[in-house]
Amino acid sequence: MNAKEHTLTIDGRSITVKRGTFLIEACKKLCIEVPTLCHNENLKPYGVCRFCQVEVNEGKRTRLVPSCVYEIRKDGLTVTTDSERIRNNRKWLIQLLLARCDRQKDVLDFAAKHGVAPIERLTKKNDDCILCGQCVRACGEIVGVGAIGYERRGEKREVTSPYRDKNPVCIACGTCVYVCPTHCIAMTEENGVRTISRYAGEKKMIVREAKMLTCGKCGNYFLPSPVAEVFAKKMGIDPTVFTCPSCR
Amino acid sequence: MTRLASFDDLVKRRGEIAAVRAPNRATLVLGDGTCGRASGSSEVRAALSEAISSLDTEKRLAFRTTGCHGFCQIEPNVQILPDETLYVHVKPENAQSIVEAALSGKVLKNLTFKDGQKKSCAKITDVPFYKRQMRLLSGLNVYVDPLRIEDYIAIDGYQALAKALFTMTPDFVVEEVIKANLRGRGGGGFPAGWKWDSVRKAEGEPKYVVCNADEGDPGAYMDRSLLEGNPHLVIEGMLIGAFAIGSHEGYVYVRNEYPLAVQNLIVALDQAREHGLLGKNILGSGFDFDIRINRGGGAFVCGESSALMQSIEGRPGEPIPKYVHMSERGLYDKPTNLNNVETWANVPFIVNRGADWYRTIGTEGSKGTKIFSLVGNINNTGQVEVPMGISLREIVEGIGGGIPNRRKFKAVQTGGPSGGCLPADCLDVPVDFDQLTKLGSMMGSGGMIVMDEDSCMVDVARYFTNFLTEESCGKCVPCREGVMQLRDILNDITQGRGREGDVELMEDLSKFVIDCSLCALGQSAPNPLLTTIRYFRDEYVAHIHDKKCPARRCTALISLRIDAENCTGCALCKKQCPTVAIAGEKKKTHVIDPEKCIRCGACYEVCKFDAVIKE
Repeated sequence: MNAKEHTLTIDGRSITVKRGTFLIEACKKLCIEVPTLCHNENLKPYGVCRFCQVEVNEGKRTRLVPSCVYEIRKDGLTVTTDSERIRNNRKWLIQLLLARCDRQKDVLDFAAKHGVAPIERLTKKNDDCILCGQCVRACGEIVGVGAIGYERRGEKREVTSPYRDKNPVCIACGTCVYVCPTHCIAMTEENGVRTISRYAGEKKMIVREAKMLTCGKCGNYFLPSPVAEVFAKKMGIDPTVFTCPSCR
Repeated sequence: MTRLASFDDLVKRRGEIAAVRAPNRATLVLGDGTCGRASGSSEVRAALSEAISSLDTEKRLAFRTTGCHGFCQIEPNVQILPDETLYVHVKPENAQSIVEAALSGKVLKNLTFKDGQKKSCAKITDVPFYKRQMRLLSGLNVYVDPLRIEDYIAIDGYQALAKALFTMTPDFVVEEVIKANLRGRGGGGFPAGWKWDSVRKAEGEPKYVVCNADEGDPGAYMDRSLLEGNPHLVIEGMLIGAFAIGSHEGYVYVRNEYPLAVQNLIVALDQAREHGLLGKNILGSGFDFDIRINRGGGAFVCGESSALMQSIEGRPGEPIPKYVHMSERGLYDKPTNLNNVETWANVPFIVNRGADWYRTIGTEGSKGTKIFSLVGNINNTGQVEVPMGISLREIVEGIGGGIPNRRKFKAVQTGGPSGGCLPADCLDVPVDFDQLTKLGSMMGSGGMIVMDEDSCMVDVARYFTNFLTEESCGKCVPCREGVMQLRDILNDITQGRGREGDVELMEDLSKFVIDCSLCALGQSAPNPLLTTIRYFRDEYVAHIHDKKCPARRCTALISLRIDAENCTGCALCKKQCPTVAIAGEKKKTHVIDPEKCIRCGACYEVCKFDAVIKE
């Protein structure tokens, strides 16, 4: 039961992994690509996009599991990463995201790549966020700040800052912007101010406006000052004397 | 000192309680649960205590206010023990005569229950609603004032705990529960004994036991009446479970919308602690266990075990994928055993009377009794406890007394919002976990909504699908987007915008939602839709193809007109119409203007001459 390692078969190929390894990692080791939208190896597994589903035979029964959250904890599993059932389910997942984000370029491209044309009958929502949660998790787990989170539930669920207001806790580092697969968080720099925002027009929600720090040598803006403060605090140095990468 | 330090102390205490009770004196029992109070039992309580306190001391009757007695239709109700006389719809002004009748042993005919044939049923055992039930758990409510632990001890309360602590090993307790085949009453029907066994064997300390009292199904209130009527029964069940599993810390997750349950539970926990039945060194056995209350904020999804535990930990109540079982990694990542209120309440019976006795009740695969909330278009609304295996017909027609207003039965929804709607053809099927699943529905936590012929099944599916759309946490794609799309299509169909192919599309989408959703909410969300398609497909066809609602319920698909032959020109409909759509002179035929009519049906309801016709 408590063996440190387990051997399993994925698409007919055998592999031995440490107990507790996530199935998606095992697939990766065998160079088997499992498509996913919410998985990010630097973040804790979340298991919500359901795209990385595979079929696992545990001996008694075969079940469909998202490979990103399924831990390997026993010997002799037989895994199938591609089947009619999985392909059909993925098609529906794309359909639903396509209905949610019917005009979002990344989603449209993704659907086209998988050869899925929209079902006209479904309600279109013209959203741009697929709620994969990478931004929220990255902000909490990596930046350690937790400046954004979810508001409401069900179909009304949204990623927002608390009370949809500017959040002084945010350090304007832009991590959420970098991880977002559908580019729905905006980061702009103008007149020495970096703005992190969501939505455009009337709905525009500014998460943070932060002053940029100038380089001690060339005088160009290069770092949001809250980020500099965090670095300075960690390293015990003066936050005003940073030098930009090109002057170093 | 009330603290009980040994098995003998408990027995002695029980003897003391019995000694101070006059055995031949009648006891008035008033149902004073949430349901009773909603019907005015508080005023009756005040009137009855006043009437009793005005009596001479030696003649004073015993008076007990208890939780729900089950029969909601007749609240407020008073029972007189030991005769088991039942008075229904009691008003404060009846108090004096009830007390006098109880003293003289007479029966007040005007306050007894009248059955379908208008026959007076003086005793509880005569009432059809009670006659066919087996009120193993809920029947104790009558004997227990939830605020007095003495009442519970008097009816052999905590005897099972003492028996387990002093005469059984934890392994033996687990074996008994496995042998009894107690299955989880919260919906899934997973064998409780197996769960206990895996938590007991799981590595990691501390281990937790949790009681799920986050009952969120519309129209279901089994757990509420157990928890507010007899909290010690649930506490005792948890204590035994904790002893068997090796846990020292328990939680009751109860929704905050159950204030009386929370209040009674707080009192019960305090009294149990004072009596040495909770806390350190319980009954001098060396076993420690305590229970904390966690109040839920009202999210339906928090009844899902992983979401519930997230909520206890202080995070948003969203389910998390659980491919490692809760029994290994649950609350605070420790082995956790979660059972529903009713499951815990069954435990003392199994320990007290043995698994062999318990196995005599029920069917092959489902043992014991099950409590249902029987609501909807039914004569006898109430909380019903029956042995597993009884037919749906027995519940609906026998106990429930059939459908009111001479309407026909159409369907019964079992298992709450994510259960299914079963038609008349299924009424003779025995009710147990496996049979209901086979029919496409489920046992669920025990909600049972009866619908008559005036219910539109497409509209019913739309209602429940909408409920689940709103209650979905929105974390995973299939549930958030898929159930929402199902709801939108159902909305379209009931509003006359249904299209050919909708049914097939919904079936396909449903299959995917069931296959891919993260938690049981999504996995079972299409049930109402799929069962109504399975059993009432013709109604879908009528809505989509013919743009007609056979039950004449969907306002967009009906029209109202006045039949000239029957109309007497009484003008009652004209007065009722909110949009002034009805014109006509007095004593002459009235006419509805279809342009102005919003099809609310108010005219249809008020017409005494059946002149308003819904089409």
